[in-house]
Amino acid sequence: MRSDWRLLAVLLRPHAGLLALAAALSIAASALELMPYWLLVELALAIAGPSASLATLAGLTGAILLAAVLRLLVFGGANIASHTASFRVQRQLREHLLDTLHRAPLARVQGHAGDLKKTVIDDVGSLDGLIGHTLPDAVAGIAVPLIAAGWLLAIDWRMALASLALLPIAIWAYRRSFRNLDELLMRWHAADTAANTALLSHVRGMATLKAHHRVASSIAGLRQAVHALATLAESVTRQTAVPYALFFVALSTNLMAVLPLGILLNARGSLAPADLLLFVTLGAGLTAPLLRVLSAFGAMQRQLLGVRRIGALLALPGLAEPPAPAAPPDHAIRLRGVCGGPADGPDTLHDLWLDIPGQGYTAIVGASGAGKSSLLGLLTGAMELRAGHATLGGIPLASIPSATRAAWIACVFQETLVFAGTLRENLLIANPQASATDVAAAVRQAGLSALLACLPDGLDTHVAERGASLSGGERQRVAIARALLANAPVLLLDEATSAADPQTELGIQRDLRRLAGRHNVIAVTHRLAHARLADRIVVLDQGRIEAVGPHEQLLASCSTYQRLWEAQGRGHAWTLSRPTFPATAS
Amino acid sequence: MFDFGFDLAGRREPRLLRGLCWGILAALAETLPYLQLYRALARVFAGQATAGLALETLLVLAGCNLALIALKARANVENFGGVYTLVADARLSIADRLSQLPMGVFLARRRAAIAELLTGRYAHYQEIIARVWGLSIMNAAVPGLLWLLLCALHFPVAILCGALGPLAFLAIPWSHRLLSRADTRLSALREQVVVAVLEQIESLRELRQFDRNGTRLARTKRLLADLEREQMQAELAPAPALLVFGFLLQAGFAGAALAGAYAWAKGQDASTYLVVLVIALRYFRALGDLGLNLAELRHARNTLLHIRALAREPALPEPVHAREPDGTDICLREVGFQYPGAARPALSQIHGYARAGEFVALVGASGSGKSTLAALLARMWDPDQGALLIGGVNLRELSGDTLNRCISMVLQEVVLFEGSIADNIRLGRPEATIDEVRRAAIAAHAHAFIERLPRGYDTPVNPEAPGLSGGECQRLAIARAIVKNAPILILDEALANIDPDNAWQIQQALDALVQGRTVIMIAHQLRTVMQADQIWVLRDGQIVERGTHEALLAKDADYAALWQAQDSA
Repeated sequence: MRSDWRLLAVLLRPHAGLLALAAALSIAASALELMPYWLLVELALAIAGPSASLATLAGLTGAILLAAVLRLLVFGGANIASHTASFRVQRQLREHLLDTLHRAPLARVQGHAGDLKKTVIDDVGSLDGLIGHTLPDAVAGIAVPLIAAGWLLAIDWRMALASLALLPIAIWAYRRSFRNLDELLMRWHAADTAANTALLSHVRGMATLKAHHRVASSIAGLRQAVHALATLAESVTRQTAVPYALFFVALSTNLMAVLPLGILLNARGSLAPADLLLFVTLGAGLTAPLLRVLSAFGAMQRQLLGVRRIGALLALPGLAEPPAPAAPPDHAIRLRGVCGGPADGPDTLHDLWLDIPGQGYTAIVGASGAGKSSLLGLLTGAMELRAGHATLGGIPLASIPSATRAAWIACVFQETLVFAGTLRENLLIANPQASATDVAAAVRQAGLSALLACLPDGLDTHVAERGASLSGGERQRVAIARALLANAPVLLLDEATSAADPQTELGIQRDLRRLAGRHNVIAVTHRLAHARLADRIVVLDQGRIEAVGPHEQLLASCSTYQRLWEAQGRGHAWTLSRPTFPATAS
Repeated sequence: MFDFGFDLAGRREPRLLRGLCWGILAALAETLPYLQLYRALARVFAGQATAGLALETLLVLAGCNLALIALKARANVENFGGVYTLVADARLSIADRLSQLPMGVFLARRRAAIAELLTGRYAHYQEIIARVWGLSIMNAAVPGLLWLLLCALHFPVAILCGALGPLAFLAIPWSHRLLSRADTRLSALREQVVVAVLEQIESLRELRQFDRNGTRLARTKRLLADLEREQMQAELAPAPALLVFGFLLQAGFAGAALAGAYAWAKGQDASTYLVVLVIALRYFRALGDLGLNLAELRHARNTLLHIRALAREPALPEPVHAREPDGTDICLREVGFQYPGAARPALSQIHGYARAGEFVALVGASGSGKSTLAALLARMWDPDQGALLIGGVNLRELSGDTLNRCISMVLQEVVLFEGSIADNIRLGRPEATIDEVRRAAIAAHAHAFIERLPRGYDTPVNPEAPGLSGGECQRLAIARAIVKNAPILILDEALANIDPDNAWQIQQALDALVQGRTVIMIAHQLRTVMQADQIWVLRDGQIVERGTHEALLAKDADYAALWQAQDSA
């Protein structure tokens, strides 16, 4: 908690000037808020005096109006200052967070897209409540009672104390109604997340639901998840209703203490009627602004949780970037006793020994979970290297800076994302200097020519964000073309053609095969028919290398490979049998 | 004007009415002390204050405050419970409504927007209206009652207050209008920012790989700067209206004060004048609170407009007089279909006939229209031209229930829903018994892995992270279709993206599933559909060839070329 505040202070420090201005204006507006009460007292005194006239009263009324308008303007100014600060903080924080992400080790970032998005968008966004509203509210909410209390104390200390008499009760009631706040927030967050998860899968699975003619409210789990929020809201309100109402009443209606005491003092002749008027107007509402402060405090707790997550993200270590090495003579890959795995998980690769020469086509095969993608991840930096030595062109992977690594290794993933923009932008991003001939060649080799021929704008066709307007196979081919254009000496493919139709896939495989004459092409594949074309096949099983060799050799000697091959052959030969059908009337 | 969206749930919520009543009573308990204040001040200004009056005042005020606490607590429980239950129902009814829309609504971008509308934005909306509703009742009832008090004390001032107060409220809808223009721009930009940030996060590995100059990051930062500017503009946009609102209320108070002063100059007593001022001050202050409260609704307004637009989206029409199909023969007549905004039709001039019990395969390159045809059969859309008939009846004339009974569909992407494994299997027939579920799972080769789950068939599924492999999910989908037991079965690439280990079991499961049904199967691997009674070969949205495997090979055209390509792979 305390550390969250400290962190917030650090985040806000660059904007201290603007925030101070907002606070000053907020306090000035608060002082102006007191003007009408003062004028009211003057008015009461005037009436009691002998020389009162309609003109005096009209003058005082005009002054009240003037003070109120002035307050509106100053308050508006405070608002502008606090929001300027708020929006500026949000932008700078988001920029800062994105920069941090770009510098952080990939292994620490991968697979947390949902959480990261929540922090960069939602948590930073909720700071607007904190900086734009809560902080100025809190300043005003504390300043008004303080200034007013000082003024009232100067007039009559007994009545001033009466104005504050119910404050201890209010504080007690507040603590009572919010004593489980942390736990409640946690439960609320969990219920909210569960409802969101259920609704998201509902939208994602719309085709399935339509196919089964089901509506949301007929799925018990979804209905319960959505209603759980309502149930929780109700039970929380029920638990806290009385103390909260007590808190509210104790702060906002202390007329109960002020008026009887005022009458008593007046009866004894020690309080003027005009002063009594001041206390029943201003004194009776003295602590009401605290309501805003304390309600804001509840919101603040939640917003501070966001600050904590922002802090955690900002604290991600940057990659230690070694100096760029000289270009190696070749791009052979050598693993010596390598172990590794995801940053927050156990090792998925164990004791790997492997030599892949600088040119040629290497296939990586194995059952699901054998570690195929982990092995590629090790080369791209998505997996942590925990033991052993891994070198690329004789240079240890760890001492290749990420930019150099990106220049040497191009990678295509099964689930690949295409950026919003034109297809041309998507390709050229890998190599802005590529010539039209290079682009045309990459397009052809990736099997994109047929697609482009169908598109009226060709390469200038705009694709929606994440490539949603393309099919999975088309996205894969765009990614392949992009990787080819990057012209990196090492090309990694992770099931990169899995969604293509067989002819296209075959065409791409042939081109990759040709490419392997000059490049180091390493492909993870399920289809052993493709692996068969490779110069060498690496067979993985449970994170270990079972065997390395060409197809014929493995088929003769490696039992894991034999099993895979048989399973595939059996699957390949499978054909859906003609269903038997009972005789029908037709 | 002040839209809370309570009608969206399609029902009334008795708790809201009760909350309203308790709220008004609470306002009464909050206003009554002003009557006592009047009595007391009149005596004080007349120089007649006594200890007895002090005691009486104390008792009256304490009583009112105690009542206020009890009533307020009661009102809060009813209001919060009522609002949250109502918005939960509204959320479900919107979600229900989605299933009646054509699939086109869920393409790409809209799908993400709808998901965000139902989750993040909805949560924001419900929080705002829950807060505003309860407070507004109190803030509206208190000035109403104070006004009645003013009427009794000083009629001209009351008339003035009654006229000027509500006048100020015309500024609130104005503020909504002012904001809505800026807000539309802001939401569009915010959406762009979210997309760009998501790209930065989700494509981090691609970006590091390929965007070494950081052009995408620079673009995102430009959007962030635009966002900062638009946010400020949206914040400033309603300011004139809110200033006018504040000014009118202050002017109202000044007017009331002047009217009171005039009456005093004409001889009315000073204490009435001062008390009227005190009450008028409180009256306008409460109206100000109410206005600021209702102005809060502007933050929910945009979301609500989107929800209403979604609720108005035309649904696939249900037949007025539903007919029952005669048998399950499938007939396609001149079917044509074009996706909204597409350059050319996805399907045109499709004819076809599949007798009950036939096995029809749809083959062709990606984008040739296979999946679209399957989607039309399941009435995810209605065709633009022609008709699809089951048992001689147009799909448009079948009730949703009948259609559901006739057709099962196994899709490539399997989505699991909140609920247990068993619930997920009986998705298509919720009344299925656990025995039927288990038998289907056994037939679908899913029983073994389900039994290994911590609570077997009762294991709750987390739809986002089901903890099952792709092949296991696929077998659950097959079990779903077995439980549903519909006479027509559509298989859309049910075998793609499955590794060989799993493929074998899925193939076994499929063999079990197809028995006794009409099968329409989309296949990439031609070998899997060699035995089909009819193979329809699609190219560019048209059926270019049809026949059995042997006949098509003999013809040596499109199909033969596809076959060749796969054989050599």
